[in-house]
Amino acid sequence: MNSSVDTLSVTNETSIAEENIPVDGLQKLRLAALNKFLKNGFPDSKHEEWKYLNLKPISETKYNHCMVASPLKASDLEQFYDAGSDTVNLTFINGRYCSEFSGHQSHKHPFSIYSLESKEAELYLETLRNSEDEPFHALNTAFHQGGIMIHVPDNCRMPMAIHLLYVNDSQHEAVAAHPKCIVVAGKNSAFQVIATYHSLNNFPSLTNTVTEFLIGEGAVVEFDIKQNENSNANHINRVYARVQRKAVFDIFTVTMGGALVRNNLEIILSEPNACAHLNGLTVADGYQVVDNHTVVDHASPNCESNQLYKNILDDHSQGVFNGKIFVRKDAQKTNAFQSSKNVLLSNTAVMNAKPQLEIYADDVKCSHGATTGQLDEDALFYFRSRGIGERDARALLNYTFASDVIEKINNDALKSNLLKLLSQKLNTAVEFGE
Amino acid sequence: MLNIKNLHASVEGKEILNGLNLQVNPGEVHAIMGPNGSGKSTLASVLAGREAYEVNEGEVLYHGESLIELSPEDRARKGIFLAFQYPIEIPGVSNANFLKTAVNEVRKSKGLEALDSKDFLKLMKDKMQLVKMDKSMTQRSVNEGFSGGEKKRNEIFQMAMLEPELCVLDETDSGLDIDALRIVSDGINALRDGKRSFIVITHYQRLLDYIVPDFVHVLYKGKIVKSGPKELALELEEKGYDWIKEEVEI
Repeated sequence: MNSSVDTLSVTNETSIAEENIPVDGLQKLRLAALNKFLKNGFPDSKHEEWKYLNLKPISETKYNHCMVASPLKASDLEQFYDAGSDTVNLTFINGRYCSEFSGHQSHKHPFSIYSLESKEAELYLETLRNSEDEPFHALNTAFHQGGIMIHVPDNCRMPMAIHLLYVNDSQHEAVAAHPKCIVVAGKNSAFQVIATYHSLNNFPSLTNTVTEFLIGEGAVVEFDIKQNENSNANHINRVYARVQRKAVFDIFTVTMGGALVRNNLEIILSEPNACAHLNGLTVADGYQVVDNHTVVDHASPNCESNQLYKNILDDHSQGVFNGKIFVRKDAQKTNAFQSSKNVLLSNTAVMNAKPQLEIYADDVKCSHGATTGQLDEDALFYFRSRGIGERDARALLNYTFASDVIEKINNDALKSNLLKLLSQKLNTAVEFGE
Repeated sequence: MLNIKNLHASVEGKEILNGLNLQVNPGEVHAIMGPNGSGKSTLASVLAGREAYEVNEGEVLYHGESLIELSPEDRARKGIFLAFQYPIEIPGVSNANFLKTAVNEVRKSKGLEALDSKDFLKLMKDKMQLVKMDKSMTQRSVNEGFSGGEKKRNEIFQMAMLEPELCVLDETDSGLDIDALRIVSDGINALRDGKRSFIVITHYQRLLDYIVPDFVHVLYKGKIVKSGPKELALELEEKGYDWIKEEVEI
């Protein structure tokens, strides 16, 4: 993209005319998206979907959006290998895929990696194209550079996990990274993708990331997201998945770090008997704002979706859960469940939970529930009456409430990494567990 | 061991205990009976240190030291154990982990080394037999999905693990069938060693056939209005509480 766009404080009149620039397929998509963004700008709090998220920290920061080069070396990255040794690490620095920092220790893996500018990727860029009305998604489409497509072949059951390792290096200036990754799961394939986000920054950083999945018939895919950036980092995360016949997509979004974090999940159960499980855990303190927006679209009959989102909020932190479920007219025998459970640890923490169901079919089972409260005082007293001190009892109960989400992740290295992080974040002094 | 003098306690501004006196010496078993709403469970909660219960007057001395200002955890560490009428379910925490943490906290407060996994497992295995507890129950989450009988057995198992000096049993017999009652009572009796003391709160004489008390007290309107030997329980079973109420009203 043209590097003259270095700030995004734009007016409605700004737009870039297509006829002035030679365009291929990808370029065309970029221009359309950029013009869309330039036309609408950043949404303010009057916009229903952005009501609880003040975007000023992002819109008023001058980030360099243009693929800032980074002097990072392989040894700087070792600290981020969270997913164990039997993993293919695919490293992105400031949004760009770096093949020199990527691979498996055995140098072999059964899937293919393509550039998003390749012929192979072109088809998926078009077929997975989705709601660029969403401003950050439009920005990502306009600015992503060096993104990749991962193609896992039919019937490939892969024991090794794919680790997408994203590093935002803003040690020398404020950097916005717009990484993009497409994952195509072949028929009856089974594998796990882990995305972890890290910031090395003295200056503010923005990660605006898009991951798109096409889950083929009968495939089983788990996607785990770990966000633990520092308080100088803002993070907008979009996951889009199209889940085909009898396929299963499980996603875990674990957010502990970052200043302003928005997670947009959009999952289409596009063919019969598809299934999706969405799990989220946020542990926030200070002035963190973490906003989880999910859309599950039951477009076909006999599909199932289940959402469980938990927040533990301390200090002045804010949590948002906005979960939308669509059940289309033809989507009979739908099972769709949603639950948002939240614990506030201070009087100044705020949780906004908003479930939305739009049901157009008549033979469906749907439920949603949201609870927000303090720690269970009876449970606390039970712990204390057995000799466990109040501080430890509180920490352990919070830990238990949260670890329940992490325990379901199917990767032992990542799981223990997250549990350790959780115990640090909650100041669990007593060692608990095996 | 425990000396309660003129205890007045209230919950949500309502006075429930109003001038209760009770002395428990080492090795004694005291049964507390009384009609509904007389303050039996309040007494248990006050002894264990539940925060919603406020002591307005009087003294609770344990080994000569006042309990009133102590936190629930400090009371537990000093050897007071409450077996809950309604044990709390704690999803996600296995019984074994819960108890290991609790046992080691109590040990730490006594200046003892923490038990390692091997010693802890051995201790657990010994104590499990007391209440015929299945090994799988120790791996399940604390009380989660337990039947009424299993929950009560688990309370006694915890009691055995923590080896308290003063055990307060709050309606441990409620919700138990005859077989479970026998198992739980046998477990409690096995813990009677001549030094450990018990306060057994119950509605029914039935429990006292199994756990034979040294004293029976009748609690009515927040006070102990009658005390006697174990035969008093039989008399209550036969005649109900009305005759005592009448005695008190006169």
